[in-house]
Amino acid sequence: MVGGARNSARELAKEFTFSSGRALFLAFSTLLIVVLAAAPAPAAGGAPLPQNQPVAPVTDFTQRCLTCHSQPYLGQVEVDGRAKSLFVDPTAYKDSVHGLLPCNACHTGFTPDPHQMVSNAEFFAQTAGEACRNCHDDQFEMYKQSYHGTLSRSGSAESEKAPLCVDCHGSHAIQKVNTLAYRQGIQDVCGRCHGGREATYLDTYHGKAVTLGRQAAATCVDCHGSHSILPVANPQSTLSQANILGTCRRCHPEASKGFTTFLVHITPTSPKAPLVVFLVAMFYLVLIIAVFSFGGVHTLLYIYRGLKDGLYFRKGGH
Amino acid sequence: MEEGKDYYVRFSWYHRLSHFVMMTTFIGAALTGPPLKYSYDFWAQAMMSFWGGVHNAGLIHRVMAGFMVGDFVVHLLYLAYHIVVRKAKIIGPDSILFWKKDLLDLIGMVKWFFDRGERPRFERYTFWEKFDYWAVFWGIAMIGTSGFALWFPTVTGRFVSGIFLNVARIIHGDEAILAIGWILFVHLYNSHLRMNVFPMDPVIFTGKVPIEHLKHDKAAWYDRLVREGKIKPE
Repeated sequence: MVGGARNSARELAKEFTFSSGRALFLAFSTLLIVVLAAAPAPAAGGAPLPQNQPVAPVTDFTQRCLTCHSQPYLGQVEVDGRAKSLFVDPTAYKDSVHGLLPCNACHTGFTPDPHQMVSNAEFFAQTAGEACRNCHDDQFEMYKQSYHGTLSRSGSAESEKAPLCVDCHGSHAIQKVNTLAYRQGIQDVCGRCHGGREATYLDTYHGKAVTLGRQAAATCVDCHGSHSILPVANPQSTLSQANILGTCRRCHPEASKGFTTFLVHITPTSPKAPLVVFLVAMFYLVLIIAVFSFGGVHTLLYIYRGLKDGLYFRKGGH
Repeated sequence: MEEGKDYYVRFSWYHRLSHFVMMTTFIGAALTGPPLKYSYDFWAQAMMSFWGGVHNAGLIHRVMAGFMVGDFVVHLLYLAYHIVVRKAKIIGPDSILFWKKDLLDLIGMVKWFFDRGERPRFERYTFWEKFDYWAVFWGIAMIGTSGFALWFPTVTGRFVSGIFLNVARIIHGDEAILAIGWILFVHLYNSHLRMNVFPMDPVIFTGKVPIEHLKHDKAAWYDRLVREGKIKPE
């Protein structure tokens, strides 16, 4: 289904091996959990725990996983030449939008011994994409139709590069997308693949205003779309000739066809920019150099003459 | 100073008021605009926080722009009045327009800088004062037009291609660099920090220039004022 993830997962599964040290640590910490889980029950003074409960309570489940995975020294595994951490920052996770969900809400298909799943490539593929679908079906359907989604299923060499949900949203520290902090970082997320575009965006009013804390100013996704993103050349794109006016009008209700021809991703001083933009930029470059050279030299010579004659310190000269 | 009692009123109340409005609105605009242009710098972010964010800074910037353009429009009316009603000469010693003498004065100044001649005998406006004036004149026309184009982008888009918003952005930002750089590094020196008036020439606020100073600073104008009987010779 999700080719990129499946391949990565296969790699991960191949390279994922437990050291005996880790096994010992796991055994010890499992023992510790049993002790810790038992201890608070009498202290709380409540009814005794149900004897035949098949699944641990939500927080308890998370706590069990985090016993090991909250240890920064847990280390990393290598996937496709990139280091993948096994560490989960418990604070970041609890502060994330999913902080109240148990680990197996996303890491689906867990058996009582979670690490049987590690050898199963399917597990990672599900987590990387399909797990999100359980709650975010609408977004997932839109994603499937998008350029990113199509690319990920294409099976081509490029499909490896197609972003899955977690590539843009993150995983354990996932945040709401409408916060200022998240919006301020969107161009960096897109820039990981669409390099260079973030610089030209940041040079526009939208980019500058968001950088300076104006949450409502447009980011990449406000114009290009997010889950259902398509290339501008695609007629269904939010920025296609048919749709661009409507997209601009979401923020600028008075926008006209002329307004939509404003160019975001250009470098004015590059000859590739539209001629009028390039010429004006060059004109000002020359003007600034000429004016400051003239004014600067005149000022410096005036100071030179004044100092030479000591005229700053007596009256009557020039 | 003894000669302090003897003044010539060089700037009328209108000149002084016009300059004051220009100066204050310029400072206001120059403190609220550049933080947006240099959004990626730490100082820009600190300045924006000081103003209370992009929205507030933009509001102050626009109020400043409004008064500045108002000052400019009143000045155009003032010029029209002087040219049409008072029949002021377009070219001449009292005109702010460049004429042949300015080029000779410039050459004379360069010679004087290197002690190869006397300081030019300036008329009412030196060439650097004219440059200051026309820099502001040109600057407001360009920065004002581009500023309004950016202020009302959808209106702009109704008349011209959106690429002119790209152009307006370049004009507005680069004119700002020109204006702020010129004021800081050229105008402030030539008008206030130059010899004899150092550390400040208050004439633009008081309107009064000591005749003793005028005699040296603008010898040709001094001679003319004496000839016309407007000041008593010393």
